[in-house]
Amino acid sequence: MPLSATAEASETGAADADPMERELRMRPALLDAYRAARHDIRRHLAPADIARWSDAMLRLYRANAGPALLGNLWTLQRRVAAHASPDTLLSISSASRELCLHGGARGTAQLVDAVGMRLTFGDDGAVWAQFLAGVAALAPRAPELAGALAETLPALAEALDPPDMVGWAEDALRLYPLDRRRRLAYLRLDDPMARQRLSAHEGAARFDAHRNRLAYLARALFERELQTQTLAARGPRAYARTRLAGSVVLMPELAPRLPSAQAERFFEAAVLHALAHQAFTSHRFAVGKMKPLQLALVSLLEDARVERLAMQRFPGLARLWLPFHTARPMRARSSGALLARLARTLADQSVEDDDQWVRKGSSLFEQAFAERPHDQSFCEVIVRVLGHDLGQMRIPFDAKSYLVDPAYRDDGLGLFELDDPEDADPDTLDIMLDAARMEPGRTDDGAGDDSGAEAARSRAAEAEADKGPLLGHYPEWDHRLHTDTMALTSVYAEELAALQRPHWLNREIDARRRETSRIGAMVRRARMGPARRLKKRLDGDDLDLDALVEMTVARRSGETPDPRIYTVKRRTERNISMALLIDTSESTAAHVAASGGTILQTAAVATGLFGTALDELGDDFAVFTFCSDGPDNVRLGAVKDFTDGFGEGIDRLAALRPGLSTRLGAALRHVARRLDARPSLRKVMIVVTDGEPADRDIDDPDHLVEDARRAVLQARADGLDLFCVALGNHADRAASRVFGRRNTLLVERVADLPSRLAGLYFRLTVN
Amino acid sequence: MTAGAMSLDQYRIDQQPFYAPVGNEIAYFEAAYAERVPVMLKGPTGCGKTRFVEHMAWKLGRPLVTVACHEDMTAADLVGRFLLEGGDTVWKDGPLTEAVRGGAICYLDEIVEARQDTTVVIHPLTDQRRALPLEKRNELVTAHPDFFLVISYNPGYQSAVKDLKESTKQRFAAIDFTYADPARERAIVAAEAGIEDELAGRLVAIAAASRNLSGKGLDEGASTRTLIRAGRLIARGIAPTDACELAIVSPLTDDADLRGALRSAVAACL
Repeated sequence: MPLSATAEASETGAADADPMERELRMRPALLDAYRAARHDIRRHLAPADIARWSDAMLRLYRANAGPALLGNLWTLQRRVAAHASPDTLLSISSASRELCLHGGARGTAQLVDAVGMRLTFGDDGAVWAQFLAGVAALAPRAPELAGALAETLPALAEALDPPDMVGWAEDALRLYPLDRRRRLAYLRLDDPMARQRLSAHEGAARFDAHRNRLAYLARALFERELQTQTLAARGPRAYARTRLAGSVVLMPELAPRLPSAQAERFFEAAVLHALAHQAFTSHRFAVGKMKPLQLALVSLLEDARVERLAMQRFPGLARLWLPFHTARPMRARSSGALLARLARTLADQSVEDDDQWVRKGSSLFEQAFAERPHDQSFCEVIVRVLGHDLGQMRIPFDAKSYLVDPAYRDDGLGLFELDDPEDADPDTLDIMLDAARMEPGRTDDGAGDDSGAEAARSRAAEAEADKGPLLGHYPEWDHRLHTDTMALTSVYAEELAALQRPHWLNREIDARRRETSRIGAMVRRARMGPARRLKKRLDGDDLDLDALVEMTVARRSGETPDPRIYTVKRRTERNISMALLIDTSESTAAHVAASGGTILQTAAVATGLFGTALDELGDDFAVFTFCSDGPDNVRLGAVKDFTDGFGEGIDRLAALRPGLSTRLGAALRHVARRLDARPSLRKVMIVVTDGEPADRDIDDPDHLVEDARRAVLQARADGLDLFCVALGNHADRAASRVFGRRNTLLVERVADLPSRLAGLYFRLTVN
Repeated sequence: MTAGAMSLDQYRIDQQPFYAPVGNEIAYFEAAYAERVPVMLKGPTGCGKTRFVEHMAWKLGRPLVTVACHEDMTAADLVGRFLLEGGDTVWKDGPLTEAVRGGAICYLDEIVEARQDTTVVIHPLTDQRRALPLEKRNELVTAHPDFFLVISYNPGYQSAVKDLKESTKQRFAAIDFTYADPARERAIVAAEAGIEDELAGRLVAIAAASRNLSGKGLDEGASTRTLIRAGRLIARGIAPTDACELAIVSPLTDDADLRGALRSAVAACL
């Protein structure tokens, strides 16, 4: 045993108790490094935790961790040890071991090193421990993950928080579960999907997801319509703070880096702060000869004043705003720090700041606010004093790098008006002009006015000519972003050809006369109208009290009693519109074993039979078909529109050809809108499809399902009844996710479709 | 087959129901009662229509017969019907007939819920005839001089399907109800729920916030009644935020964004 080891062992008396020492005794360099690490970490851990930590190291070493990995890990752990909990350290160790087992020591060492580079001073490492554990959980399925992530980590960290990075990496496995090469391309950000998913994950911290909620909140608390515009993050200067422009709140496209969990509170704080200005800042301050520092101070005091007034009305706002004040007293007296401390002292009266200047500012403000809280001009008066003092203290103010603290507050420039540019201080003029030059991105008030939507719109305009008439744009729901403002679909009218009679469908329907009349009888029996209580029935759910009494009276008086003594609740009048939506995507070209025809042909026969019956009955109904080729080309064909006769519809049905994909949500939204416009009391949509929605641009199997589900929910909320007939084996799996199990009818033997379709119509009507 | 001499005593209101007037409605009601002009109370849910009628019945010393109207209600449910009792067929007066005979105030709550052909039976009672024909008994019941008819309805959720016939509407004098002004509502909530005035004020602020959303997301904002419910839960020891969630936020909406906004509003007001 080397001498140094003995010395260390006797010094600590722990050598025998530490099996890692024994394990490493043949590798003196590593042993020394281990001891040094243990020495540092021991200062922060209890003896029991040290033993657990050593044990974890031993297990890691035995998992073939080389000196590089161990060294990097120890560096990382020593850096976080001062603030980390023992569990964090252990979790980092065990995650490293998992990674090492599945992905090899080299990649793991690189990743641990990359994580170490991202640590900030005083980091407790908890989120990174979580990150490593997340990556480790994915490692068995993607051994290359650790090494690849190590390369991309700096780029990722610009956009995402550690937990979101795991989500982004997980997407790679979901997208390319079997293709290691494409996964690598994704993880290296070479794959286009990688960027797309990156912005999707980033989007969780974006304003869009919160806009509706906050618009409601603005109405509720301040009776104002929230108007927002997005400030593009691109451009000469990235805007990190909100800005007020009259009644419009400009939101930076990317909020200051914050975990998505905090984004909700952040945007709420920012919007409510802006609303407090709108409610209580009665006019803009004249810039006059103010210097940038004075501008910053005036807006700081005005921020405090309007928040004070808002909190008088809504005391709970204090709990929302205060946690964002992170400035703490410290020795450094930079102007930024002092301003932040003043802001905090004004916001939270329980805070005592020991700085002379901050206290002076605070007491001046309190005095003025107590006297005339609604007079915003006192801010300017106080600022003359405070600004002068700060100048006397020779504390410089750098207008270019100054950022309002706390981060949710607006940058203050919207509070000022440049009255006389000739007269203004040159630095101030610079700032004000810069602000004025800034071009607002675009209005976000309308739904779907966003980059995706705009792009879709311009693409749509280009392609207008050869796609036929545009029927409408519909938003598409993104279940990951929880918003429907990111993407837009365009629905075009598909001109359906008609076959010359006689044709196959014609003959088929004629050959099935009996079936037609059976369906007709079924449909006629179906009663759709408002529920009515019918009295004096031969049978029913309830006794009709009046009839019962009459019967008894009749019996007593020796007459023949009337046996109709029941009441029953029935829908009586026929007042219904129905739309049938038929999926004509490529997959419907599959053949149906029994009949020999394709799924689409069977659907056409069923629709032909069913439609003939409805037509004879004079019901208001329409038959549409749909297929899609990407979001900007959803094709919707009208076999029979509501006002058309069905005769020609049969010829169009006969000519249907399968092709393209199934973007169900967009088609649903369009047909729902058409159906909703019908005057009938009851509106029913039946969708005939053979499987789950899919389209060429979508890799996430849940995306279109969730979008369609959303469309169904919206249509139901509008009072429409939606049902689905799912064709083929297991077709109901996806369909029942969209329409709900109760509203999905599985037809496994597609040949049964005609009678099942009519049966569904019947079922809808008698319950 | 005799109409049992009925006693309306069970319908009498002995104790003064708490009611804080919002405007002149008490004077209007008394004048309408003096002239026997039937009254229609219009207003959002939970703003005190029913409580007002109870209060007036107590004040005027009349029994109060309340009928909660519903879709399946038939004219017989109001007027009365033959029933079998032992070996006999007995006529049983419905609540409306009881009130007509006994000189009570008859209050038809949420009248639009009843079908239009049912509500027609009140027509003869609301003009100068003041009589109720009982076709089945072949009897014309002349109204007791003290008989008075009050209906209530909530214009907030009237639809084309559920609205009063024009011929019904125009027989009534309408008193419009709204929520009390904040100070008064605060006093009402404090008194009814038994909570401190300051807390009641905060609940009223929450209601005001939610009412700003009525018609712009919500069908109706939180009513005074929901505030009292929330207040009682708080008085029972439930934390204010939770009580508001239970009694105000959850019942009002299922929309995630609206709920989020309401929760934030609750947090801001408390």
